[in-house]
Amino acid sequence: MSARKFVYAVCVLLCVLLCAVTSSVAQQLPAPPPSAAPSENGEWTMPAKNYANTRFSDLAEINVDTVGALKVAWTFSTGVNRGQESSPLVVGTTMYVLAPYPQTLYALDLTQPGAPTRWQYEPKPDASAQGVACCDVVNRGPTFSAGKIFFTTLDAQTVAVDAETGAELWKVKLGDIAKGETMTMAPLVVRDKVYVGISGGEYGVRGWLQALDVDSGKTIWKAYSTGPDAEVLIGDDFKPYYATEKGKDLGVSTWPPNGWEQGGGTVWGWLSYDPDLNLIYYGTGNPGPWNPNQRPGDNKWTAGIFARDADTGAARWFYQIAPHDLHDWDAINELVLLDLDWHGEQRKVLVQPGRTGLVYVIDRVTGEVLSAEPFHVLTAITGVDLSTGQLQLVPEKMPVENRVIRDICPTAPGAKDWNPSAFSPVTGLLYIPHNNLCMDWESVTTSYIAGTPFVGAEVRMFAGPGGHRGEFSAWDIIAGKERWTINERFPLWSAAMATAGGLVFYGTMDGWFKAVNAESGAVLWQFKVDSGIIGQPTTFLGPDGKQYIAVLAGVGGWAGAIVSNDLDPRDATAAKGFVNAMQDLKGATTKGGTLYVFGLP
Amino acid sequence: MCSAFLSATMGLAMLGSAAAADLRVCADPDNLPFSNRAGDGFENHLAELLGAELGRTVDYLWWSEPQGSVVDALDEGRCDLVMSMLRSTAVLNAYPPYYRSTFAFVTRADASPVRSYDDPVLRELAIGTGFGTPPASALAARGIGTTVRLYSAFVESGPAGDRSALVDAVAKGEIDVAIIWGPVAGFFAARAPVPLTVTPLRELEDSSGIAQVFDVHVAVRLDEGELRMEIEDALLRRRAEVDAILAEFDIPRLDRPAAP
Repeated sequence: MSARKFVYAVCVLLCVLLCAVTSSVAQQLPAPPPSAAPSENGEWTMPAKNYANTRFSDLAEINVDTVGALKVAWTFSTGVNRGQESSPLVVGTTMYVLAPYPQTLYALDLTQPGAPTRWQYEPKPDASAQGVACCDVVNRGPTFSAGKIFFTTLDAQTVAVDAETGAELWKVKLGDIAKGETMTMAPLVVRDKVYVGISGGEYGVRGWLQALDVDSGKTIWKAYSTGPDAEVLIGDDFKPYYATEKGKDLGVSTWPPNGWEQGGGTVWGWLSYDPDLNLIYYGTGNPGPWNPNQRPGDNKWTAGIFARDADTGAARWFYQIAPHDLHDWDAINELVLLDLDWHGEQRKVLVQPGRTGLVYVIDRVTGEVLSAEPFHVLTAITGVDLSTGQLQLVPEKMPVENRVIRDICPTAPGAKDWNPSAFSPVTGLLYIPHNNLCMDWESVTTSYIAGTPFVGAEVRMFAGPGGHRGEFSAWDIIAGKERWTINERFPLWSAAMATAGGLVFYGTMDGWFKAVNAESGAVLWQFKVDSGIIGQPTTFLGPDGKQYIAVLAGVGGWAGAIVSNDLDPRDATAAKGFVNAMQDLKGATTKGGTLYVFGLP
Repeated sequence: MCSAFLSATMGLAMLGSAAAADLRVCADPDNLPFSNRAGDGFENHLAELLGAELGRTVDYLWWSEPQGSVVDALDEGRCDLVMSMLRSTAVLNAYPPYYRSTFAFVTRADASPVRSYDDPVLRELAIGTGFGTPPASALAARGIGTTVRLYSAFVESGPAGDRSALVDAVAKGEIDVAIIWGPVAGFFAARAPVPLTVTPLRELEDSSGIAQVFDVHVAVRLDEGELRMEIEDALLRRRAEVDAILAEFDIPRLDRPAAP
């Protein structure tokens, strides 16, 4: 054996050993199904990055070693100083940025210095929709598929725009703002269908999800979240795991008569798709009205998770996170699709850090809850009975009419609201931006239409244990435990993003954009932008072959309304009680609407 | 001297313009009996009365947003007052409230009237009431549901005519009884094409502890204590006319109108 051959043999041997070690480690770590998280191409075409909703990029030029040198490459004003919850998309050499109401869509040319505007498209939504929006005039992002950009508008329309030219291809009206129906969610596209849902749970809207034809906008199917089985698209294929979800027309019988007609269960959060099972997954919003005394019963199919056939909409299973919801705990948060070794057994799961304060690990084939462990201080619930799937409530903390209930944790926006977490297959950890808030709750009769009595709730939120209001946590899904946590002064209302560079990015409401070590939680880089961040960071490979990070700054949303809507901090119950917890935000940030793009020098 | 004269003149001019500043009223453009753009509502009439008494021209900010967001418009200084507001810590309420009312049962005149939530007949009648309102709570607390139809408060506040939907449903025989906020019940029932009976609730609160009787105030921004006092004095001076306007709109009252 020549020396050269010997070296080669050692190398092979080493590789065999190393590779074996590496692959055995990889086997233990959860990972998204490859069909739902295709390999990296340097683009970012949908807000959640992929069907599995991991918000993870394989790009690694910006990494733990280089991130210290990260600098602003260029910026762009959306022209609207309201809450920027959207995500910048990159397709080919174009970046797409969607502003809050009036929702101008901008296409920016990445091949030119400073990324000038290629075109802009204005959907011109009805101005009166602003008055119907519950929580600032936000939108959670456009999505791209096969040459088209799709997005929803505040006045309940869905539009398709030619991604090359900005020409409007179709625009369909799906709801009526006079009935309180608005749209805020980012659509999801699977092949020839674009899925969109309705917002407005605070106003007695009956929630639904629709599949539209990508070429015409025509409705292919519509699945309501309440009402008779035929309208919920519950049929022979419906095989929920728990007994409480079984029975005929539960969407009617678990309500007072006709209550389901205005029962909420709106669809305004995130959708996931498993191409192998051909199922879409999404959560439904809280039941209406907010006052639980007016809707005795479980209030199916609100505040729970649906699995549906992507082609027909037929429901496959449902799991109700909060039967007869008492706290405004929508189940609309992101559902991260992962395959993992669950105590020796390979399981296909979805993971949701919920408003309840629990991280749910649910078998996405059957709807069985495998675990539900707390990531937030809990006083109102103790957990989930895994044998029945039932949320375990603490009776003393149940809101009742005409009594002040103190120290309910988590609060109405929950341990975590809409802003999605990220999952890194490198670390196997879920990165959860969330709140640390508790509340006092009192039912009161207020003016609905001026001078007209309406039963509402007076809510005052305040910091949870420790006195900080936000946390950024790395979560070990299998152990059901936090690995590390960064405490933040304000609640976290931005999404997280993870990269193969060993980094996780997120923004704070006082305007810090941060890169932290995904393993240790050490903050490696941070930059102060012009306004608080409630958007969704993305990353992409520019036409110059370099990696960039993009994020929208501009405070607002439910949590930030005190700044974006100029609310009076003396009114503790404004923005449904959030203002009480946010009185110092006005001193920490001002309104904004700026896209920041960062790169290495 | 010249400058003193100038500044005195300017001071007077400023004083003059302040005195003549419009009284900006937040009001719904299409929400009878309360207000509309044509000025036909009782709030319009009361605002004119108030404007005349304060020597200020009434200017409206048309505001139809539900859920108390009119408070935002007040806070942002886009208007100075709201004509109808329940007691709230988000505003300054003018005292005394200029009327007290309650929810009312509306039935057809040829049917026997309903007087209470505990009336056993309620369990057999087709009932209509507003989504999210105190009557909806009172009915739910009694387990009365099989015949209840909830009307969206949103629709009730919507385009012309919608607010009368519950009264119309009784008039057309679609439901047997509607339980509606007094001013809405009284106004529309008196103008219905068929004779209707309006029976205000007798209870201050119903037996399950849910308040049913409410005082309605003029309201101003939290830091406008002086304006509130001016309004309180003006309403007191014109009390008889205020009562006359409320009577003209057939508003059922639980407080005692001033002696004629």
